[in-house]
Amino acid sequence: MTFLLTTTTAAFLFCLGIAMVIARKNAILALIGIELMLNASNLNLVAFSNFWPQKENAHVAILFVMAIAAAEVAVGLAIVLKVYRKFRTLELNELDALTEE
Amino acid sequence: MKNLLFIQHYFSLSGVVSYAGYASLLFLFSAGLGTLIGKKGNQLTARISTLVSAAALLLGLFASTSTLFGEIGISSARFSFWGFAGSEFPLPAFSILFDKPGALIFSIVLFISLVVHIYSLGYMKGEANLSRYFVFLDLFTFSMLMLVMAGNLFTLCIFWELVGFGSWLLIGFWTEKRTAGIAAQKAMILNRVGDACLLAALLIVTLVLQGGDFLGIEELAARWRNSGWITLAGLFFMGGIMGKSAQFPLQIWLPKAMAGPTPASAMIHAATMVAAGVFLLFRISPLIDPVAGFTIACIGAFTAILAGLSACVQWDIKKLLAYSTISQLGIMVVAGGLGGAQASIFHLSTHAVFKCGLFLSAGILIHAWPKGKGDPQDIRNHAQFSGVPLWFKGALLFQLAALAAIPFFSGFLSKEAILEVTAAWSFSAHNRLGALGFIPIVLLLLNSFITAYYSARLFLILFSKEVKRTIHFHSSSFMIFPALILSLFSFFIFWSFPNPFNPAQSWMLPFLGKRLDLGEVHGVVWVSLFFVGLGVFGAWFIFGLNKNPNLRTGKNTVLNLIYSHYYLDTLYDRLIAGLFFRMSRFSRWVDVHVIDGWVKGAAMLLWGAGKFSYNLVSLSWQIEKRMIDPVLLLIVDGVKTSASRLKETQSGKIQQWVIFSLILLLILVLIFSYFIV
Repeated sequence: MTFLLTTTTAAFLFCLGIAMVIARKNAILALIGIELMLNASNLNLVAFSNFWPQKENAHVAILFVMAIAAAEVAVGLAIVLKVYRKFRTLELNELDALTEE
Repeated sequence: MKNLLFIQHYFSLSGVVSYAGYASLLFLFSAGLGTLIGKKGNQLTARISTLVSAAALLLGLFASTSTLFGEIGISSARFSFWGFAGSEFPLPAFSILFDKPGALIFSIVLFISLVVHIYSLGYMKGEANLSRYFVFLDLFTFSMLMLVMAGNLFTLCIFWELVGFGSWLLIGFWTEKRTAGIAAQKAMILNRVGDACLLAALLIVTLVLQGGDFLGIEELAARWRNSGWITLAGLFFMGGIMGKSAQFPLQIWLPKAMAGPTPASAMIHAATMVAAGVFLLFRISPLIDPVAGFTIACIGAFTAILAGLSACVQWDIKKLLAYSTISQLGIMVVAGGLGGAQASIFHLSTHAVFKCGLFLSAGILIHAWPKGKGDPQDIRNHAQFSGVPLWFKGALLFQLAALAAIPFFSGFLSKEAILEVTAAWSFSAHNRLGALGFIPIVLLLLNSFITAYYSARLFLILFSKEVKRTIHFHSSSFMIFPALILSLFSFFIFWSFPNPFNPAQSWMLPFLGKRLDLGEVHGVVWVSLFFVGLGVFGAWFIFGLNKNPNLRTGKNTVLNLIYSHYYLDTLYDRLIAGLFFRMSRFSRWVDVHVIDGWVKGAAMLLWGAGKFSYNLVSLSWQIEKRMIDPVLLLIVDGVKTSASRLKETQSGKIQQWVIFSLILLLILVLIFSYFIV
């Protein structure tokens, strides 16, 4: 019962994160969405840790994920900074220079 | 094949007849040559034609004298080209007969033809269509000669119609003259009415009476005596003669035919074609029974008076001569109907000579009149000629005297013969018909008066002393000699030697048949002479003494009636032509409203069908527009939309990439989940 709830919550949070990535105009808010997705996957780890032989390994995995998330956010923010300096806007709709049109 | 056989037979006619055959064929040859030569060789055709005429005259004279005086007697040939010869089928054959009367008329026709040819060389000089003229003239002469040589009624009918055709060609010769064409038309139509009657007579004679050959006509008459068929045939023959020889009521074409060239008028309407009727009468005279004969005589006499009266008031010289011809033909017909056909042929011959001469002299006057100064045919204009030579006056005098039947001239002899025959008949018919039997002779005597009157009138007006003479007279020698020769032959001496007063001594009469019984009534000649004198005196009284040629100006209605020949022409125009015009107008109405109505209806149907099919087409277009197109557009829309969406995968927008990769992931998960679970 708890398992199901947790998994569902994680899924729901994950979807929320995807929604934020897809639907928000601002790039920083998209990054927040990515964070949310990471956190949701963390929660999923927690939920599935019940079936591991050693439940404590979940804690370690989660710490690793968090660290990587932080690093990733730093890099992401650096990219956003550079993008802002170049294009003067952070609207994701406007940032389509990678295509050939 | 059979036609070739016929030609072979024609050329193998025995003896003298062959010369006559060649003489007529020469004219046909000349006509054919003229047709080929055409307009370029006008002079050539004229000369060839005249030479042919002279050659034919020689041949014809040779043939005729052989027949008349020699032992050869009657030459005839009978051959058929239907292939039924000798069978019981009574189909007539084409037959040639050259006997004494035929030889006489043959020679006269040839002589007149030569004279007219020479005259035409002068008169028609400068004519653009001279070739055509001579072709027509020769064609006509050929037909007339063959008519004279016809051996049975059937052949005669063939050339009868051909002669009428030749006349039509010649009357309408000047195609630019509208009156000429109309006149030719009238002549042809009235002639055709006569031809229809002749055809009826031919049918009766050939089919009912089982005859038709001229050789055996007396036996035929004897066999069918007292039969109603003979009378009927006689009356139908009269119809034919009415048409061809211009007797009442079909005589109106002859004055109108004066629209043709004068030499043609001289040839056709004085001497030859109109004589064909009288010649026919001569040939069939055994078949005329008393009833038909009396009818014929009355019609002839009546016509003579009618035409003579019209001649008395004419100012146009050709019309005057035309009416005179009708009148003289009338008296010939009288004699023919009453059994004196030999006398009628005698008068035919003398009349041919002097009437042709009169026409030629009239032609000289017409030719001499300068263009543009009024009617060249009006005798009041001719009276203004100055310097008219004596020989011309003399020629005219001779010819007119012959016409008026003054003693010492040929006309007197032949007319006397006719009068004696008629008087004899009248006295013998007194038993049967009572007073009616005297109608012919009385009318003939009246006609003597009228003829003398208009002849003298003509001469007096032409050469009246009182008119101012300003126009110089001239003529060409081509025209002079023929007129002179003909006037010479109007003298009595060539016809009856040595007695100028007794026609029974004429050399002609014995050749024309059995002994002509002129009867014992010689007193009639003195009565006739009295009338002639009366006529001449009357004319001299009016025109010689009063010296005013314009005496009659025609305000009088009776005079108008006579002058216009009793309005017969107008009557026929209104009645018959009017009838035909009404019929043609009616048929035009039918054509426009009924027949074209059908055509219009069909066109309407087609138009309706066209409109309907157009509507069908537009209906299908509507269907396409309303039903098919939206579907197609929908599909197109869908493709467009999906294409644009799919394009977004490559749009370069981050969020799009995320979406698409998510969708792909979902799809992959779905697929793999089937394989795992």
